[in-house]
This record gives sequence, structure tokens and C-alpha cells, in this order.
Amino acid sequence: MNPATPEQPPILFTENETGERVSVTSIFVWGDENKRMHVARYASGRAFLVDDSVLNLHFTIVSPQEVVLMAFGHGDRPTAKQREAEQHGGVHSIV
Amino acid sequence: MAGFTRSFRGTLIKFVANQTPGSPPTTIYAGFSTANPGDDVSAIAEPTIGTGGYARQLMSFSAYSAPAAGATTFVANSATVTWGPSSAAWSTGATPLTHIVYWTASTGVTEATSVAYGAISLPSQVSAAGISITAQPGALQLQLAPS
Repeated sequence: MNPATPEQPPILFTENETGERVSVTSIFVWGDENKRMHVARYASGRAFLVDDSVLNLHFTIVSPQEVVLMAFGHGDRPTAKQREAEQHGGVHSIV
Repeated sequence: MAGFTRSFRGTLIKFVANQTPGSPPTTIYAGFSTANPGDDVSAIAEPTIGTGGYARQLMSFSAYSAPAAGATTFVANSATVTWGPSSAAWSTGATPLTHIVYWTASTGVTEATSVAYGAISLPSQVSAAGISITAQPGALQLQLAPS
């Protein structure tokens, strides 16, 4: 069983066109450790899944702001080899 | 990929074999990178220390507590770690901070001072001016899993 990937705690953004405040959470994309997607949630409940380019194009981060890093261990995200080992009933080590 | 760097793994292995691993690090600093630093940290892309309010931050760790047999061993930060606030962007354009990197020194990017690294999922604009990044106690964990 692979560990769940925790979401980044919400970060406040403003939509450039409307000025609406948006809460953005980020999460890793399975299979690509450098790829992230973001869920932009409006106060009305609308939510959109956006990538970095859309986030940068249409939203601006609220500043000043304190951003909280998500809680995670630097080894709890399985690599391809670890996933393969798990599929075959193996266990893995991060070192 | 994340985990302990080649250099620090060497230190751990030398400890096991009693082959002069050196003294334990007296300080651990946490910094960022806009690229995966790699096992030997040769691909490190760290914001410029001393520019825009960026600096590696000194960490303190909670006391180690043995887990249940078969569970992952870990230590975690015992106090809040805060970077910033930034007075200018820490990276250019849309380049996000993608990794957190642990070092035994507050400056320099030599492999010998590298300890571990891991990916983080921050939007790119977090590196803009006026942003503080905090890690609450327990948020940053260095782990060793059983095999």
C-alpha cells in the first residue's frame, strides 16, 4: 500500500480578472515527482484543477502571507522501484 | 527520488563498519532548490543566500523515540522553521521551489555538507516577494524505513 500524498495546506490567491479571493491547495502528480497540480477553490464552492501555467496566468498570490509547508517525511513518497517492489509483495527502504 | 544523499549515506555506512565516519553534525540547516538536487546535489538550484531575504534555516530535532518493530524510524523538527519573509522573489519567472534540502552548513553547496532532500508541492508564486514559509513542529521528518 502506497502512502497517501498529503495536500499542501491552502494558500490564498486572487483571481486577476475578478479580484475574487481563491484558496489554492497543491498536490503531486502521480508518476512525476516534479509535477504539481493545484485545486483553486472559490468562496462560492466552485473549484478548478489548474496547472502552474494557468495558476500563474490567472491568479496572483496574496502578499504578505505565511505559507505552511505540508507535513511529510522525505522518503514517504514511493519511487518507481519502490512501487514495483510493493506490487511484488516487497518492502522498501529510502536509502 | 528523495532521501539521504550519497555523502550522508556513506557516513552512515562507515559508522556501521567503524570506518571513521566523522563526528555527528552539530547543525542541520534546511534550504530550498528549484530543481531536484540529485543524489550528489550536483543539480542543486538554490535561491541566492542573502538575496531577497533568503537563508537556510537552522533546525532542531525532537528526541528520537524507537517506533514499533517494523515501523519507520524518524526524527522531526521540534520547533517551527520559518523562511523569510521574502523581500524579493527567490526564483525567476514561474520557477517553483520544488525541493527542500538539508545541509550541515548554512552556506555552500558541496556534497560533503549535504544530508538529505525531498520534494515539496508549492505553487511557483510562493517564491514571490512578501511570502513567509513555515514548517510547524513535526512537519519535516527524516526517515529510515525497515527492510
